[in-house]
Amino acid sequence: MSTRETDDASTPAVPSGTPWPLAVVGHTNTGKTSLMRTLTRDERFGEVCDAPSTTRDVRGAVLLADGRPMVALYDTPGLEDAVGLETFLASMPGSFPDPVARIETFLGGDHDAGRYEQEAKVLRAALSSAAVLYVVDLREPVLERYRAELRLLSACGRPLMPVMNFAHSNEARLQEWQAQLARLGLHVQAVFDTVVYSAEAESQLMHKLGVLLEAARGAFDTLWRCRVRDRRAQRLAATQLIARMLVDVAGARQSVADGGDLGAALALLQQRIREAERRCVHELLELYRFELGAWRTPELPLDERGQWTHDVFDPEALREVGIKAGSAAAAGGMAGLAIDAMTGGLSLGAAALVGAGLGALWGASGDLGPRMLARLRGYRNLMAAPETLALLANRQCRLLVALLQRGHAAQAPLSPSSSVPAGAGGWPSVEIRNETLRLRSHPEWSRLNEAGLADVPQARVNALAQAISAQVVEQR
Amino acid sequence: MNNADGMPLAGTQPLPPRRSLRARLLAEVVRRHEERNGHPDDTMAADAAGQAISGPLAERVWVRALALPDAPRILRAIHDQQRIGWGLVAALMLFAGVAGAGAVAGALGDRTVSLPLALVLIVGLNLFSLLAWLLLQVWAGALSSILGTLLRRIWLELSRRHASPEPSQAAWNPLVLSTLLGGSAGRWLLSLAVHLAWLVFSLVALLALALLLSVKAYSLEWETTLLSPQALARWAQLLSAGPELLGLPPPDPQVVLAGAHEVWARWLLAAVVAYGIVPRALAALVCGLLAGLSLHRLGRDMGQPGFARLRHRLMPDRALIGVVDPELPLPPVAFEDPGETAPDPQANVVMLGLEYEPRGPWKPEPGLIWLGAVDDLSSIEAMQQRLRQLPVNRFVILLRATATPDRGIERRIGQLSDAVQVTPVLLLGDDARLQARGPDIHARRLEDWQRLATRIGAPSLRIWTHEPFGALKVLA
Repeated sequence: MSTRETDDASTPAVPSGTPWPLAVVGHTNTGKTSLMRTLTRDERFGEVCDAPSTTRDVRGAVLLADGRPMVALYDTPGLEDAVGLETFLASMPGSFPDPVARIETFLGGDHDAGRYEQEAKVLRAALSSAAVLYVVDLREPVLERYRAELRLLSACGRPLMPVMNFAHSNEARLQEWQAQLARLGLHVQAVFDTVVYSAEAESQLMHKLGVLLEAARGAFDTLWRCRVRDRRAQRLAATQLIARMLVDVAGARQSVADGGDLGAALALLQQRIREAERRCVHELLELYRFELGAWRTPELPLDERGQWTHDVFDPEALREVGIKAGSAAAAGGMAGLAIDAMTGGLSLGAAALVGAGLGALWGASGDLGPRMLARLRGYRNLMAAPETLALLANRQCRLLVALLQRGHAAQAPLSPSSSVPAGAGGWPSVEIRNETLRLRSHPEWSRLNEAGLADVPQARVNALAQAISAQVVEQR
Repeated sequence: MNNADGMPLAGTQPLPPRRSLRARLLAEVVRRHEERNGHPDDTMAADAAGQAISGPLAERVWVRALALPDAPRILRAIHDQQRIGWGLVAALMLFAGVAGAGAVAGALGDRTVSLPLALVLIVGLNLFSLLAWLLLQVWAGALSSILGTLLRRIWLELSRRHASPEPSQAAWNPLVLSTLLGGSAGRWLLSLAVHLAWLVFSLVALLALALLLSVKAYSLEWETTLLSPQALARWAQLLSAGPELLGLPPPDPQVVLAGAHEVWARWLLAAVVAYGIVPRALAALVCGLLAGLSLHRLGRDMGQPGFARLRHRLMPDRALIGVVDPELPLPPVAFEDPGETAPDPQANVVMLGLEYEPRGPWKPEPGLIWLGAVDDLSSIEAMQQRLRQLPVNRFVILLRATATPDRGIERRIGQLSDAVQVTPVLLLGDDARLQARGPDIHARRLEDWQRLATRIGAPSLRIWTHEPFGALKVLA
């Protein structure tokens, strides 16, 4: 950051403490705003729309590393008539020592009576930035107008790097574009898909920006280190969220008297479990900064409120992840719930051996004592069935995989490759199953029960979170 | 709870420094609350306060917690709980001291003191409870000792009964208490309190013993009714290991039964130190260190989901700059209306491609003149020349449906139709590829083309569905 010497007089002097300005330019509708959204992780930056000239003004965002400004990105309107502008520039009277002087003279004028106002904005932004990112829609053939745009931008005398968007499309003409860009002298090129997020591609982009703009390499490196660290923390928190939700649901209990209203108790417990899942989904979306209003996910059966379309107690939902609904149906109206067969489902363990069990448990959780007494008086405790837990684990893992791969500009459905490999019986993996089923005997750790005093030991949450993390493979 | 003077809650206490234990406790309580109830809406000001400082995420989280509207109430609740805790500890110590004196009084009631009884009363109970605690630590993990859980239970009851008159503050008590006592900090703190209580018990017992043995003459005997004297002698020898470590020579086995009172009095004092004070002091030291460590970690684990999701609120990785070059109204593209010309299907139909050629093996049908495709400016100029010399009745411009209908294309269409003075029919090829991008994108792009067609006065927009065959059929 401190070494910002510029020996080139035409490069604008960047005052220290201010970010490096980068202009994001390109033909109209190639994904400039999408690139901005992905790099800023801001779904609402500008307005992405698949129509010409969505962006008509120049607006910017600063990327910060631990609060310090590193890079300022400027989103520009699309270049629409570079061919016409090139002709106009050629027809301008007077002699110019270099192409930049010609562009400067053009910007000082009236832009052919306002005819090239939009193009002038782009060139002005390019001239006032330290480097220019040229966004390419790889699905397009290499046309004269793109060559004209590149010639115009080269004439601005700024380091210019093509960023090739839509690389994952089957229409992408990567080699054709690479060859053409090389012929125009642009050898530092980046491939970056704004719809399918890839940390590797973003890392490459930052690295190449450092190559393109040597003096700013420190800024790009710092920025990337921060992002890697934050993303790791984000992922850790996400797996912890899912693990905590499973701890809560696995330990959830609803007691019902022997002659009591079983149906009402079932409905009550189901409602609490539903609510726990809904909250988990919301928090995952918030963690990855996807707003529910803007979140469209036809691939995952989530509705606009962020709820899964199939209820967790719907047999159809079980079938979806490959769980045979037979066992649930056989329970006769229990639908995803089970009766706790053990004495309150508690593992008395060593506590009972040393004769301190009752007292210790009584103190460990405010409601366990009454619960055990309730059992002795002829109550039953309802709890979540294993297939319900399997479904919850499976769904949330799939959501996390999808979130990890989704760029903040994505509008179209995700590719169906974002599935979690199914382990035994609909569980994402055997480890997740084992860890989760062990939690069923710990109602004192569930936040869905009446507030107890016991925290789930962090080691147990970590074990489950690690098992989840192992199943959620990030796309490279 | 000391709110009877009617002072408003807020401002009754100065806010603690941001790194203090109370601030971190507050942040931890807030985290648990928000993990259960979701992010509240009224945190804008607090979020801004956290964002305003510079520093790592943890410090921002603490500052935010202190700035929350509920912070004074939670801090009062923490204060109240801490007071209850200190009161309980004081009561426990007092009780332990009285019990220690009582134990000595019980053991030294008569002139003839039974050494086995004195050992059981003063050291035995202590050692047994220490062993039980150790076993619980190894086998039951999170559970504390019996006395510790009892303490917790009493604390819970006290805080329920002794609720503050302010209901909005009392509502925080359970959460504050579970934060204080639920995690590992609570486990070690309660253990520490219990060890200290036993330490007080042993110290008071030691003092009382020393006092009584100094000022009164007792005959200390190894008394037994049931056991054989040999067994008793073995026991005495075994138990001498502790005093021996403290530098007391082991008494002769013969002495056990002979009764040398002064030796045994010294031996008893050493045994209380070796079996009562030293183990408890060690345990208290270990628990104190662990409690300190746990308290130090409190509110610092930014991997917890409730903290992690605050990262983008408190430590944004981007800042919006806003519009730097605002949008100006674009001048309309000048287009000369060539006027209505009745289409004569028998006459020449002239077709050319703009940046697009029909795909696959295609030969122009009879009655259709194919002029080829144009892309760059020179080819357009040459085409204009050619068009001026041709008798054209119907003029068809073939376009690529996937292209963006921007002003550049609009101007090229204008240039070309100017040359023939005929309103062009726009024919969209490559529709299959556009359709492959999804029905939404397809419909929107067609709308854009239609708008362009209307703008240039060429309302007939056709789609060449059976490309590359049957162009005339589409045009008819």
